[in-house]
Amino acid sequence: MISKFIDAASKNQKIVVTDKHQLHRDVFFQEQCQDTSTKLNTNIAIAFKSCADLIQALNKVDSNVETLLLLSPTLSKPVAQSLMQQAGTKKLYADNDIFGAHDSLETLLSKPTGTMKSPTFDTIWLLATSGTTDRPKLVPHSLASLTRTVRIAKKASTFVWGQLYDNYRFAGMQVILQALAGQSILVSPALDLPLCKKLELFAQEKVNALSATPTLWRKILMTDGAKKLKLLSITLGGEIADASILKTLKVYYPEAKIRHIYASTEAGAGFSVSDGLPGFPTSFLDDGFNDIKIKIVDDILYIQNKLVSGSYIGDGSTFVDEDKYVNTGDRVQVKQDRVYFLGRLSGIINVGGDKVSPETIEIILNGVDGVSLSRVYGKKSPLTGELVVAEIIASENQNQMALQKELIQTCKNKLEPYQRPIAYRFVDKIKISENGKVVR
Amino acid sequence: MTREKIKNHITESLLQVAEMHEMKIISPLTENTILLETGLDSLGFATLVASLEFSLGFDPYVSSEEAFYPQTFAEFIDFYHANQPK
Repeated sequence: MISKFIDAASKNQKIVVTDKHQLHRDVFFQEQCQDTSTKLNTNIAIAFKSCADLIQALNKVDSNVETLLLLSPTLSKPVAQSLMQQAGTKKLYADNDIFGAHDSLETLLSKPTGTMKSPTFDTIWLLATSGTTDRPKLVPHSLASLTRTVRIAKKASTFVWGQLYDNYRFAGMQVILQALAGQSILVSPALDLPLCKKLELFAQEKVNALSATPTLWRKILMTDGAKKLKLLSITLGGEIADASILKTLKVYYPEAKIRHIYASTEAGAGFSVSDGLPGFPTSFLDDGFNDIKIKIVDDILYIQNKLVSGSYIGDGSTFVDEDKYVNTGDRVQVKQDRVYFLGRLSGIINVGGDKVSPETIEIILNGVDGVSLSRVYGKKSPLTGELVVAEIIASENQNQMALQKELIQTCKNKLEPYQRPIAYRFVDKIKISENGKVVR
Repeated sequence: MTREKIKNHITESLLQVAEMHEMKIISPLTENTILLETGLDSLGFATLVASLEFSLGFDPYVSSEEAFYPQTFAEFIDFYHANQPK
């Protein structure tokens, strides 16, 4: 349970979460006043904006409820409600009524701890995937699977963590749990604060440990605030970390330990690489990485993590093979003694961490008068990893300039900026496979 | 290409990208303007770099020996000027 996990440290040490208000470590050991009239439901959802509120709630409910659904306050109401339905959760604790009927943090904290509370009882934590074409899915985790790579400090670490992820996502939760286990200070700015303001706050609070996607790192390096940070720990994840960004970060932050990690909501924390090179050594394929096993089948990376269940909550569909390996959907290539990432099997385009399904865009393009067929694919970008580009076969006698204008306008109306093709190429042929699909 | 020509070309492309993404470019846009304060966000910049690659035929982020992330508009122009294919 989470308070035991934190209890590895001296009780005098304070954990400070800097956001709306500060949360001191003492909170984990306070006797909470109890309203014994109503018990805590066994199946709850939480959605608190403040990281300090979230941590207090986690401390309260972990090992004390059967399932805990983590609902990011950034979700839309229909998505949040659909996730609650998938999880079979009716009780929501939140700041306000953005997702419907709710109770406050104070009410949650006043609930009796119930009969389930035991250090050995594992609450199931439900985390949402980022979702691509369809609705986000729920993946069950345990505190053990979430903290597999978290290092528990014997004494307060010198790290001051900055939070750049959504607290409710897998990557954001990793940062919170690492900060708690390391008895570190955690600086968690409001998610919608502009990046330059977040970096100003980080510099002021002497943040020296940051985790972000390669795209976000590139953006950080384009700000003046980059020079004001004195980083000792740098983590990259969520996208392919290329040689260029790894090298540049080393130049900017010579004292920092730089690692890129392979993790996903489904596979959990996989492995990390800290030799400054992209990809990972082929030795991982033979030896595994700690208790993680790794294999490549048909150029696709598979990971076996015994701490994850292998199926989604809700529809119950599985994402592991018969040997309990998670099919990551990431295409890889072995060159000498290194495995390199090539991109997604599904053709999913990763634009700075936002995922774009080519089929979704093609449907919209194909619906424009004058388009016979379209193919959407990712073009490598040094800044956002990839960008969306479209190939178009125009109908006969179609004016290409006019059609391009129409396509741009349609995409503006129907798509988010990151989903819009940044270029249209008019071609005569698009390759179609035997089963009638556009070849990717 | 002279630096002046490159600057004009970049400015023109930047305005086109801003229109495409419905972003408002800061006025006046000077060489001292911080890139992330021009009005283009990171997606806008990535689009600008890609469209410059189509129109100029090169991408200094790929061709440059050292990885570099310009912060001001002047540094961005210099980056393209210095890394033109010889």
